[in-house]
Amino acid sequence: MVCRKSLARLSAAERSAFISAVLALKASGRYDRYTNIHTITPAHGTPLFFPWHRQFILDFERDLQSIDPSVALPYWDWTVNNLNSAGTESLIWRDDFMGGPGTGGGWANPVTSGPFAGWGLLRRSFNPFTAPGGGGAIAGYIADPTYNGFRGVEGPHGSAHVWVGGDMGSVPTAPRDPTFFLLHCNVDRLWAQWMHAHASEPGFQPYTPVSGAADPTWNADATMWPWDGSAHPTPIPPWDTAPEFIKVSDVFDHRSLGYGYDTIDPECRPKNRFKELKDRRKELAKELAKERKELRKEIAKEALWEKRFEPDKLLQPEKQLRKELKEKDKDLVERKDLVEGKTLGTEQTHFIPQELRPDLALGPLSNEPDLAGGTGFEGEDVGEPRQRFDATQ
Amino acid sequence: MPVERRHDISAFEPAEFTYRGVDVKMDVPESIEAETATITIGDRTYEARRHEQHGSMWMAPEVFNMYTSLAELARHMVDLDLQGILAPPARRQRTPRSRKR
Repeated sequence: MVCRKSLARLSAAERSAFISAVLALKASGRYDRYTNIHTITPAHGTPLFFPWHRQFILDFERDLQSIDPSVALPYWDWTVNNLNSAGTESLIWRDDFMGGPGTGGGWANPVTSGPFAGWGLLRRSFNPFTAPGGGGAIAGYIADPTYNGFRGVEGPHGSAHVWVGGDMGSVPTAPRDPTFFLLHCNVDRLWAQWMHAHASEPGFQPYTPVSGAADPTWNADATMWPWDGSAHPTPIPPWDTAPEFIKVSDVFDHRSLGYGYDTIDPECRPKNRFKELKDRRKELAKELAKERKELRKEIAKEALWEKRFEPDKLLQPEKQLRKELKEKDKDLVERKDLVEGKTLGTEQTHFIPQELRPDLALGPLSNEPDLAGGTGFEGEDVGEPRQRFDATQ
Repeated sequence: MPVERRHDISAFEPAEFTYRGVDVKMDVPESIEAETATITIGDRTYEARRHEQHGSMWMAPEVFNMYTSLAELARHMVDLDLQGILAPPARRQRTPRSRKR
């Protein structure tokens, strides 16, 4: 089932897919046919208003789906402002969706922003942060159990058309603006909502007249123009040669036409979306648990390997060898320094210049005889102790 | 399709009334077969005409919908006007004579 939802609930990807499909339909030349048909439809102001537009926008949706099967017609609930949660952006009159209001101060100004800026559309310079409203009147019409009473919704629908203004404000030009289909999707939703509210009441009729209408084309079992190929008001191809005999009563049940609304049908309600997400979360949790289990197994294997082969012990001799080598290396460096007469740290090895005592072999100070009362070399009369030579004197 | 003609109630409604505080005047055609009529809201006069296929319906270019009576159409025009979205009369903009003046 195709789920039609409020434009305020569309994701960026859904918005993009819808717009791309509309642009592709326009480029194919099939879009303008809708404007031409609507120009001469006899449905306005008659009981046919709701069933005729239901089939009309369904055709449009199916045309879009022939381009992108994922697309569903969104609806514009014009009784609310449709802003983002911060109230800083309109969710309908934005550059990646329906574009902005008309640019100028009149009633029909060119639309210069958004994906349809090049279409030559006209709109009123409305405030995009507001809406046509009329929710109170609509609630009253929905509460009326008779079809004639409910038909009052056509009034607020017309106000919404005039509120957008420009092309939307006139029957012959309204479908030029793609907003038309969003507005009529909401009209269609309201009819479905009204039926849903009263269906269980005894004697309820989703549509009247059932028969005996002043105009026989209004009867529930009558076929609808242009699909029936009739000449009222004029035959329209391709149905003039290949008619589809769609009766008024054929479109009473929207679900049988393959779509539902997020405010009516359980399959399309947001809470089912939450359920979908919840189920998805469960699936992901299961997958995660499985991955964890596998990971644990791998870790256990590695631990077992480590326990068996004790890699630390295997590496121990090498470590020991490196330590020994390092110590030997250090020793060698010390020895070399001694041989070259360099100082090792702060220890002074020679304080008598070599030119004064050439007899002294190079070596550490400790090799010299003890100057302070030492015995000197063997067989030598040292007499008085020698004075320490001061090179600065 | 044959043009339907019915006695719509507009012919029997008062030609002047006040709706939501706004004075409305309807130039109701003497003949119920008349194709056009005028509706004056305050100081603006709008032209209404019958629907081509459904002769019992009245419509005006400034209003999207069509109504089964002229008075109903006039009341809806007042509703739109109070919302600030009723366009100025299209008839005056289109009349070449008024442009010359």
